[in-house]
Amino acid sequence: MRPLIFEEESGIVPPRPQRASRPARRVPFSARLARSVAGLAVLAALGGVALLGLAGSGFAAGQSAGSGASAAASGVSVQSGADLSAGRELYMQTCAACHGVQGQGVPRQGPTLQGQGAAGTAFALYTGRMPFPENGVPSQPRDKPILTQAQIQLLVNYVAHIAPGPTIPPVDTSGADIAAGRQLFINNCAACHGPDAAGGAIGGPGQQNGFPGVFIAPSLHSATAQTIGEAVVTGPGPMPKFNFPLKQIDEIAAYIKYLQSAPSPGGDALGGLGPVPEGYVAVAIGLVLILLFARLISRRPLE
Amino acid sequence: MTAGMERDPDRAYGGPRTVRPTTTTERRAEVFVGLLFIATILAALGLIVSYIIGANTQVDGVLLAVAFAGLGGAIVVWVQYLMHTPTMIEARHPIQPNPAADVSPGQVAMREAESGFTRRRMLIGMLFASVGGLVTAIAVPLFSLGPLPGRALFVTKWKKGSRVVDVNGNLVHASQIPINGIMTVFPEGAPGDAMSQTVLLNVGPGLLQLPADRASWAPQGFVAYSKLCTHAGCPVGLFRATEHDLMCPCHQSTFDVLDGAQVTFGPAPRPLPQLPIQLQPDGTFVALGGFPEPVGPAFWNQTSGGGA
Amino acid sequence: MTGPGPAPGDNRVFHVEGEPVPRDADAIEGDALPVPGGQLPVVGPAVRFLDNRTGLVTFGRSALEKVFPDHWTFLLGEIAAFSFIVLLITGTYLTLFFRPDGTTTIYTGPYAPLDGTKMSAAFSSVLALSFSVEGGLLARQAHHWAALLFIAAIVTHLTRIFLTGAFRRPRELNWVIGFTLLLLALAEGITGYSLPDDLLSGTGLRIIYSIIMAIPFLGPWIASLLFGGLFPTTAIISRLFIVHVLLLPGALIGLISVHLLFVWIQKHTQYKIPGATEHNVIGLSLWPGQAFRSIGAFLLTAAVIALLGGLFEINPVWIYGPYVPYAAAVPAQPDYYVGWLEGLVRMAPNWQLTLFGITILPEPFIPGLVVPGVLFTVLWIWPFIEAFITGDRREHNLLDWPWEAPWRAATGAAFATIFLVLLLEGANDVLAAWLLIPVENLTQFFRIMVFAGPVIAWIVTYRLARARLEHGTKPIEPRGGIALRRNATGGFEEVHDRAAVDAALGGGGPK
Repeated sequence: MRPLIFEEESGIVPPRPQRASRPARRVPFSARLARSVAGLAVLAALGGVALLGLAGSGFAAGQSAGSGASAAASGVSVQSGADLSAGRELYMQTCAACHGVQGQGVPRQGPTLQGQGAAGTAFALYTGRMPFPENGVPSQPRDKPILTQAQIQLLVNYVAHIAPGPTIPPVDTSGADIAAGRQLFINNCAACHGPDAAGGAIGGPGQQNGFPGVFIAPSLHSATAQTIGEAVVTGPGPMPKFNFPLKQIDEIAAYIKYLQSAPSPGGDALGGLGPVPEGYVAVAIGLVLILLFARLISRRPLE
Repeated sequence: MTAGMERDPDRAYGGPRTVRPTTTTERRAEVFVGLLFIATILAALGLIVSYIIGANTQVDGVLLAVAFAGLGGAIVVWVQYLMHTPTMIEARHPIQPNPAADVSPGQVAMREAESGFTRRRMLIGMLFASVGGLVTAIAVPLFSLGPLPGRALFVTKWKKGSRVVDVNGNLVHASQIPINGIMTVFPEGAPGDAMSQTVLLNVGPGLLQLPADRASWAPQGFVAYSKLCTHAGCPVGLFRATEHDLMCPCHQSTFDVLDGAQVTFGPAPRPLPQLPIQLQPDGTFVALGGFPEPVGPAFWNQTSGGGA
Repeated sequence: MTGPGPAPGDNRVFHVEGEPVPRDADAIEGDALPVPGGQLPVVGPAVRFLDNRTGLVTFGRSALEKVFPDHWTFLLGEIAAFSFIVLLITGTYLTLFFRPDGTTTIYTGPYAPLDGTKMSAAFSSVLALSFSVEGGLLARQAHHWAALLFIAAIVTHLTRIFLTGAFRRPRELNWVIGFTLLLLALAEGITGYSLPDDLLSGTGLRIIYSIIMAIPFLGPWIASLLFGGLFPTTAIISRLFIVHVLLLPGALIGLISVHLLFVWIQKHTQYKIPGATEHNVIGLSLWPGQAFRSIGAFLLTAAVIALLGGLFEINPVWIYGPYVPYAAAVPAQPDYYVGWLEGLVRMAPNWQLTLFGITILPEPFIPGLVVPGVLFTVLWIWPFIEAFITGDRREHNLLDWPWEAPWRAATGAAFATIFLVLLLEGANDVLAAWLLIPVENLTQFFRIMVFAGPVIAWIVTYRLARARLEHGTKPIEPRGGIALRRNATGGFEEVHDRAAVDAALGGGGPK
């Protein structure tokens, strides 16, 4: 049991009036509008039942964009002797405009980095959530990191220096008990990420302040063990923070890795989203096929 | 088994069928039907092999589908192209009562008189009473289906001095729950208990806006609420840390953690009951008492019961 | 029913209205409809053996000649029945391995992530039949897919009956029976969904328990009696099991028999095809035409179910894990056929009526029981409601085309829209993640749409139907081919050319 040390806890939580002003995953209204219009167009074209199924497949395809490329991050640890001044220079070019020169945050631009530490920084950079491209969407996971591994290493060291926080947990899934991991996952993670780690919609912050944002617990189907560990200890965005012993983090990561590679013995898993895509398949494939057969049975197609 | 039966000169019920030359369409249909039968035979053989070697569900499913579809398709093509199935017309007779059956009022009245139903009203009453009594007597054992709820809906296993443990029964320590952290907890001795499940959250100091009489129930930003949704009883496990609200995964009832779990969205009719807890010097927690009101979904006399 | 009668010609006269019954001038010699296999050496004697002891062959012969309309929408009910047969077969196989036992065991089996996990014996047996029984997973998945198809087929069948007015006198009772069958099928689905005792099904049971508990004044007692105490109970799995495998299937089989008996007695309705009148049925005889088509339809239904069962994973309970009362996961849905009820419960406002400290109407009661009850009751007794509104109590054997009764089509569309909106709301978290709209906003949208949607659907459908009605319909091509006409002696005569066919069919040209 190697308990993690939280170096700095205060200051992460914004004061109450500001809560929800910076959801971790926020999608601009235009993008949401475009997707909504597309969705409603499909609804009109294919009928409501089709919508359910497309929701299933679209969801699976759209949301599993996790952090595939941060496989490179495995085994990365913070080198205390790394070049802080090079990191500072990169920070000033890449991050300071929004997060402030001291990581204190800039009103209406970017949140404070206080308390993020190495783990939070590595999570944001290796999953491609940061830095986000111009006109891009902040905090959106991308297929691969925007920066190179060397650049990320410099930034991780530098931010850990100016905004101390959790260190990167050295996650090691080899030999971890996946049955224990499954129980931890169901009890702590599945409420948002789903039993199959396929992700889920967990509402939006718009109710209190009219902000048209939306929270998505992302699919973990391409998350690396390292990213999982970083997310557990930092609680990015609306996600709670967990102070699990490292052994339990190993177990959770091992179970998620198991889910990623587990065969689905019953056939196509339909996105791991449960009865909604199942109902869609039953109607859109099963019923349609049978109606087609019924039509053929009652007519002689060759005449 | 027909031995000894006299031969009917008509022999069979059927007569001669009209024979006409086979058309090209019919020949093609014959070939197609044959191919479909072969597909079924091959798929059936494949299923047997698959069973022996223990192939997977996908192989079995496809083979079974081919076997069924081959046979079904062959029969359909056969009936459509090789079978003489002319359009037929059947007369439809109006559906009406049989005029031979006399159901005239006079007839019915006479039958009633014979039965004695019309005259022996006292006995009729007793007949109904006896049938009713028997049915009731037979139905009474239904009560052995389950214990009546009694006080069970009003109480949980939490009581004054209950130590707070996690799902495995280990004592919960404050350091296990960082700010913006959440843990599902139970009273000592009842880990996993459905009625007593509770979420213990750490929202950090200075944010809680609890009613004055509950200010002492949440030490240093640690606050505990029943995890049973007050709507339909799902576990409210979805904690959106930046929002400080708990959401129910089933029907999306949302509760404001800072404000005594007031309902901010969804169908839940009342806040989650709050558990008064105290932080011990050793970092563990104890309950200062049970929940002040019944936990879980509404039922008609919920408010009349009082707490544990 | 046409029971054993004195002679085939007496009670089943096949002739065209208004025409003199032809003498046996051109009749084919003997009987054109042989007993099946009449030319084969074994079947003929066997049939005679049976007939000499029961006299059933007279009935059998008339049964074989029963005429079935030849239109694909008349196969919808059959498909539902065939799905039910697949359910009976796969379900029987499952009962050989499933243990309806709610007591706790420790799992030690091939599925590593659950090794050493506490679970009910029921859940453990589901894992065993999925992973350790050859063909078990296929049977389980086929059973589940067949259930989804069963209800989809019933609903499609009912929709056809509704839109064409087939429920009108004399078939009101058969609509009621059919709708009751839908309710029984839904109950079968819900009890079956709950049996594996996985996290999803346990959460569903918890919600059902809460809704029952919300019944005013009696709720807590009813819930306790049904579940055997305070939720979660060990008794519930074995109770649901006997309901699922004995009581409900028994009721279904009984009512399906009555349903078919009524169809037999009242004969099929038919579309307004050339020649069709209120007093005849045009189509294929049961033997051999319709019988083989039905057998083909059954086999093809089974093929589709086998294909789905093999290729698409359904209800992977090992992913959900055993039920524990303190965990739930998103997205949490019931099977789609209960999705509309889930949507109702999700979108309902959090109002409840409390008087003098007593909760008269606990929140889940109205969306969970009252609204579904009202919706279903209206549909259940619809034939009587429509007869009351229109005042039309005549017998109808000819079907309306859907546009011929615009207000009925519009009402059907309105009902469908209500259920569709509710179904979408029941999937709101899945939709939210796909459309990137907060679930709260979706819920508010559907709250409006559940009222506005049916109104819009009613108006649009009504106007479309009126337009179709007013601008006339495409003339229907005369029927081609040959027709067989029954003559007085029980023989048949063939009618060949089109004009003659149309004439023989009662002179009905295109309407």
